[in-house]
Amino acid sequence: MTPHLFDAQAFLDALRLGGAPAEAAALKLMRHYKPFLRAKLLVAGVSHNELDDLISELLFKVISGAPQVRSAAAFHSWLCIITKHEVAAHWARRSRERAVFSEPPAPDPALQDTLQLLDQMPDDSASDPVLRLCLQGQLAKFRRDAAQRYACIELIAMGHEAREIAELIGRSYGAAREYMSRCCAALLDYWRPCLSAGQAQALKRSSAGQAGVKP
Amino acid sequence: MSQAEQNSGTPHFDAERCLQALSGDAPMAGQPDRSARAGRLLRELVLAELQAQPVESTPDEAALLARLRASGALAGQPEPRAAWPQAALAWLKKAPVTWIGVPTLATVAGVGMVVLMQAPPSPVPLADEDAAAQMRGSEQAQRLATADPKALADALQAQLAARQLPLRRQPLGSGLIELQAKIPPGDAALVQALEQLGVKVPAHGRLWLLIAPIGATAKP
Repeated sequence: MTPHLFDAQAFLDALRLGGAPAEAAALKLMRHYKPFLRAKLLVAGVSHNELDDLISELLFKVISGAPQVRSAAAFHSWLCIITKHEVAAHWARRSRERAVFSEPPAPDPALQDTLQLLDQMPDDSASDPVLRLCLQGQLAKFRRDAAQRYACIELIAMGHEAREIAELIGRSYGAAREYMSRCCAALLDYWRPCLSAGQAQALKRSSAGQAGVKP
Repeated sequence: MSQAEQNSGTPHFDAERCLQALSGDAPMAGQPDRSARAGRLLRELVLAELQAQPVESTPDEAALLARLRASGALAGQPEPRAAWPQAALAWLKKAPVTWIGVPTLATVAGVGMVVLMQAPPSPVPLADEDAAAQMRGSEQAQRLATADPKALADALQAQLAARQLPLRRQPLGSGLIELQAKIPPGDAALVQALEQLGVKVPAHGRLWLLIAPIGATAKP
């Protein structure tokens, strides 16, 4: 899902051919880049009801302008520049200050408990289906509750650097790093119930195992 | 465990290590600690969530493909764009500049000058009959108010896409959508179809619409 893994050369070749290969390549690009653009625009403060229209407009510009890209290696950077300009035009059209950090600030979570629990988990605990399901459920809950922060985490996981996120949210590098670490801390805090339950299960299993070996 | 944790004895959230693990970078020197472990787990689940997103075709994708088809973006290119400049560059590299290049360029420049002097620029008549009666910039967008601007814009887009006519569509916020297209003269069927959707096509054929939700008064 990392944007850099998109085969831009194959896309540009197919676009040059035209017809069915070009349509298939365009569809592939849309599906590959949609989550990335969504996360980027959300972090930039674009509201949910304007998101789909803006993504469609961006993808249209990217696909129709792609033949101008000379090198496939520069495709991703070119797409990011187009996104940056489109976001700037979006705010210019509204002629108002962009709504960064539109979600109310959450209190700083006390992560000691979560980290302690995580530390006590065995290394293979993440593969436990029950725990994994719980963590994914909390992830979805966090996504609903704090879409902008979740989008920031998605961007970091996709390899976005703090410098790029700072540019998106229109803040300094230091403020962006602070924001990024707060996003991570807030999500980790959501995992606490799962990790507590997971630890209880692990303890139960180990005590059951000990009881089993007793004569 | 990081140095801070070893010193304090309590888990300490090291944002640097967590972010580094989340972005998939190689771990920093030393043993991986709790924060890095949390970052790795975050990365694993977030990327799994991204990959698990549905891949079926959506109406948005179909509309975007139709728009791309109509604009000719998916028609392909017969030759790579850089073919002519590359060939010219190759010829220049091969040609001995002092013997062939300079006289050739001088001849071409001279012929160009003669042609330009013999055919001075003449005024070009305006293409539109009604353009003379209008001041530049006096054109106004046609405003349509509807309960669902997106549906109306989609219907208009479908009409134009069916005839492979390029369309510029721009969301302006607060539900306002701007559409621009050029209607070819003599397409009575299209004009009628657009009129049925409430759109009046001007004589010059340049369609400029602002579709607003009912009750919206804000200017774009």
